[in-house]
Order: sequence, then structure tokens, then C-alpha cells
Amino acid sequence: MELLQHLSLGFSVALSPMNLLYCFAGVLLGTFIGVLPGVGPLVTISVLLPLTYGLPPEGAMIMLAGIYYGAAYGGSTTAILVNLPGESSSAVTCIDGYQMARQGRAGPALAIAAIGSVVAGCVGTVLIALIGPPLGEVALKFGAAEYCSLMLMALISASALVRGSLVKGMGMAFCGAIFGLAGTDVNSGIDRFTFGMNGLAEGFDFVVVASGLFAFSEIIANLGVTQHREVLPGQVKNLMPSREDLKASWKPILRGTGIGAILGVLPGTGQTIASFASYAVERKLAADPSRFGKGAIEGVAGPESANNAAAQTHFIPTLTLGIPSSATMALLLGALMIQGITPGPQVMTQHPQLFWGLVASMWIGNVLLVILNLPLVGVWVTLLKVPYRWLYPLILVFSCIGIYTVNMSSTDVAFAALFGLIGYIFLKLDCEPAPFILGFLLGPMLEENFRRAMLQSHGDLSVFVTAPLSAIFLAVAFALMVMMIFPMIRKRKDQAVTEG
Amino acid sequence: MKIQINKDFLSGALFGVIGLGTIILAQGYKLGTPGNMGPGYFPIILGVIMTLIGVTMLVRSTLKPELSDHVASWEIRPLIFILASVLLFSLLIDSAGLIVAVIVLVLSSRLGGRQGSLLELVLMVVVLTLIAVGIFVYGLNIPLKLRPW
Repeated sequence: MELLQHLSLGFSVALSPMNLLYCFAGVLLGTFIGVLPGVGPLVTISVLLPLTYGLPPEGAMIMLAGIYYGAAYGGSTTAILVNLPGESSSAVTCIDGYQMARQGRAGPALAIAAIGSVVAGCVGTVLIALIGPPLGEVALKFGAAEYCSLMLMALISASALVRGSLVKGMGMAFCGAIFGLAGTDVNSGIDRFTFGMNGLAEGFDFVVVASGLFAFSEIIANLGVTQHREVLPGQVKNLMPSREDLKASWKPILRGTGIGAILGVLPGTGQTIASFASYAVERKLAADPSRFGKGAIEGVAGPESANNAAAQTHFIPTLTLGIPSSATMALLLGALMIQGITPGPQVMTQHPQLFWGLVASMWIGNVLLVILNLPLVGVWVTLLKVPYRWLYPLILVFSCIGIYTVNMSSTDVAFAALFGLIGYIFLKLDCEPAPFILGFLLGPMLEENFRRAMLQSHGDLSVFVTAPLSAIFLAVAFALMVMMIFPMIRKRKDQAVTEG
Repeated sequence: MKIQINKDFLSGALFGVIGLGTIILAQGYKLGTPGNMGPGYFPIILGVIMTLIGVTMLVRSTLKPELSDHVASWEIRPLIFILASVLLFSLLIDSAGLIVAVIVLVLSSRLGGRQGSLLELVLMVVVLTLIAVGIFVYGLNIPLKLRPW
């Protein structure tokens, strides 16, 4: 019954006129920007982040969450209509979605993607409501050693599951942690790695790093290549999927939701893996696997649902443990910190209106998404024709003003240019930025908890294996590392994350 | 054995330099003991791990160069102009105000890409300046300086 009380609190927050408006604005803006080709959810959120500074915490998080799933949905629209994935997780949707569009069945493909997303989103939200509180309660009992091991596990699993080798991923995670060192050391009050600059006393601001790494570097790379975009001519007609389409899709939607929901909970595991796993399952279960790649609707229904379910359950470790499960979640946590709220299990008990309001708004947002998107498909198709040379100055203007307004500091803008350069070098060297941003965010917390754990144990490292939960986290991290050494598993993973 | 300057080799070198740099810079901070760490302890751990990762990547990319490929090309022109436009914005925003900063940002970033007519450029400058002022100053009520005076 406690759950019902919580949910009614949540809905009372989420249904307040202002929060409904934020949710609506978030979903609309997220889809609007997410649809634009070459602009993924990461860029969308980092660009729109400044719009939420002035809002109260609930409103800000509700709007950002709306932007998040709006952008994810906008990304699948682009994947289906232009064969251009906004992020790696919609790469799988391209395979059959674009083929369907070429056969004149873009409408049903978009509709099934929407239905799948909404089913997965609702199931995912139920899971957050059910799993969140007990998990948070366990997490409240975590000591410094448990936290330390948990963060290490998150970093290693994030490093293991990106494109490229484990060593490279870990290099990026530690690199992020090193950049996170800059600023005043909390324990001793000494300035570290600030090079005598006042602007660095509080470290690099999260928005600075994210904008540079995701928005600026991507613009530079995009300007270098001449893009060949082929927007399907003509109108998208016949949105309604046929009875056969629905019949073929409902099972893949449910299976995809299950796969995505489970994989999304693990810290660091990507939506990409979830959508690929779902695609593989559907192809295996299909009566005629040869249809896949030629416009099989199951190939859209399953992965889209998996993608969205994982996107939703990503919120579980993020909100209850304060451990972001993806780069986008790291951005949301960063936003939470800008609002002055320390992420962690205490958020649920100290800010119940925030947690439950957000959960309730996810249902509303997911429904809004469908109501909004299906009639607006025509508008999105027009947006796809917007050339990139109009877009990037807009992204630059928004990012620069956004960075400046966090602290009213022009130095921050210059630092963002530095991170743009760093991000561009990473991009060219195939170094994935996701572990970097996770390391950047978790590094300071890792240090704090490591120092506290060692202080409590009088310098004895064995504390990390004698505390049972901590030992389990380390064992999982170790198992992941060992798994990546086996060429078989590594090859499967590489296939999964580079497909499309 | 010939050293291949491929992506993994360069990443390894980069990681190694960052790791070593961290260790060197951290020498200036008090180390402390494992049971009572000073501000230098954790940075040194990170630096050592980072250096090891860098060395591992250097060795592996030399032994197995087929695992990685070369950087095909660098987009020098957009790199310079985009970063320069952001830096110009940061130089101008405090002294010259939002309007000038946005105009310069749009104009200089436009040099990064080469397409589009002059009319289009003028339109973009006008529209983006209006959007910036409208949303941030009037919509979000952020007290930004608008003009140089």
C-alpha cells in the first residue's frame, strides 16, 4: 500500500499544470531536436540542459526525462526514414526499419516503433517503482567499501561494453577520473591540478565537459564529412499498422521489453547491447529468418522495445544508487547536481516528491510521446530535410550561452573549447567518450569513498573483499574482465556494438 | 618489428602521457599513508594505472598492428574555426555582450563549413541572435549583458 501512496504523491506532482507543461515541452523539444539528423540524445540533452537551470528540481528533472525519451524516439524516426542512426542503439532499427520505409511502409514501421516504445516505457516505469525503493533501502546501508566496489564495477562494465578493447575503455574511464581530480581536495582543502587558475578551484563543470566532448567534437567531425542523406520522397501515409503487423509484433515487443529491462539495470550496459540482443533473438525465433534485413516488422518491434525498456530501467541504478548506467544518465545526474541535490539512495527518502513525481511523469510522458508523434510525423519528415549547415550554428549558440550561464563564467566557455579539442582527438582515435564521462562523474566519489574505507580499515586493503556485498561487486567486475579476454565473447560484443 | 602509428598506438601514447603527467604533478601534494591518505595518494594511484594502460596499449599495438587502423584524415579546417569561434565567444561575452558575441560566433563558425549563400548567412545571424536574446534574456530571465555599452 505504501507504493500506492507514493504513486499518488507522484501523480499529484506530475499532474500539476506546470509540471505537465514541462513534461510536454520536454517531450516535444526532445523529439524536435532528436529527429534532426546527426544530433543524438547526448547532444540534445547537453544543448537543452541550460533551459532547465531556472526550474525547480522536480520540473527540471521531469523536463529532462521528457527530453531524454523524446530524443530517443526522435532518433528512431530518423533511423527509419533516413537510415541514419542518431545514436548507436538505433543502428539496429535502421536495418529493417529503413527497408520497410523503402517499401512504402514507413508509416507502420513508425507506428510499431511508437507502440513498442510506449509498452516498454510503461513496463520499465513499473519496474522503477517496484525495484527502486527496496534497492534504495539496501543501498542506504552501503558503507564506503561497498560504494567503492560498486563504482569500480560500474566503470569496468562501462569500459568492457563499449566499442573497442577493454583496456582502451578502461583507459578512457581512468582518464575521466583524472580530469575529475581538478579542483579543491575536500579532505585537505588543497587545490589540485588547477594550474593556479581560479576558474578551476571547483573543478571542471559538468556541463563544460559534456558540451565539449559531445556537442563540439561532433560538430567538427560532422563538418569534415559530406553527408549523403536520402530522405524518402513523398508523404508518409497509412500510419496504422495492419492486423497482421500487430499480430507479428506483439510478441517481439514483449520479448524486447523483457530483454531491455534486464540489461538496462546493469550499470554501464548499453541500450545498444539490448537492442542487438533483441534483434538476434527475433531472427532466431522467426519462422523465416531470411526476411530479416529486408523489412521484417519484428526487426523494428523487438529492438525498439528493448532500446526503450533499457532506457527506462537505466533510471534504476541512476536514481537509487547514484551510479549512472550510461553517458546520458550521467548527464541527468549532472543536472541533478546543478540543482543542488546529491545523487544517491537518500534522494528517494529526502526528496520523495522528486523521485515519485519523476516516475509518474514517465507514464504521462510516454503516452504524450505517442499522442504527439503520430500526428506530427509530417512535421518530423520536413525537419529531416534541414541541412546541417543550419543546425550547427544553432547548437553552438545554445551550448555557448548555456555553458556561460551555469556560473556566468567566460573561462568555462574556453574550457569547453578545450574539451571540444580533446573530444575530437578521442573521436579520431576511436576512444569512446561514454566511459570518460562516467569516470569523470564517479572519480571524485570513488576517491572520497576509497579514502574513507581505507581510513576505517587503518590502511588494510582486505576490507574490500571481507565485506560480502563489496566482494560480490568486485567479483562481477572481475568476471566481466575475464570474459572480455575470451576472443569468442569479445567478437560477439564487437558485432553487437558496431552493427549497422 | 616496425612500429605502426595507428589509432591504438596513438591512444596508448596519449594515455601514457596523461598518466605520467598526473604522477609528476601529484608529486607536489602530500602523499600520506594508506590509512590516512593525503591529497596526493589517489592521483598517484590513478596516474600509475593510467601509465600501465598506456604502456599496455603501446606494446599491444606494436605486436598486433592489425587490430587497429590509421587515422584516415583530420578535419583541420572545421577544427580550427569551430574552436576559434567558441573561444571568441568566451572572449567577447563579458566585454561586448551577448549580441556581438553571438554574431561573431555564428560568422566565424560558418567559416568551418563552406556551403551556403551570403543571404542565408545574414538570415542565420539575424534569426539566431533573435532566438538567443528571446529565449535566454526574455524567456528565461537570465540577466545577460546585451550590448557593449
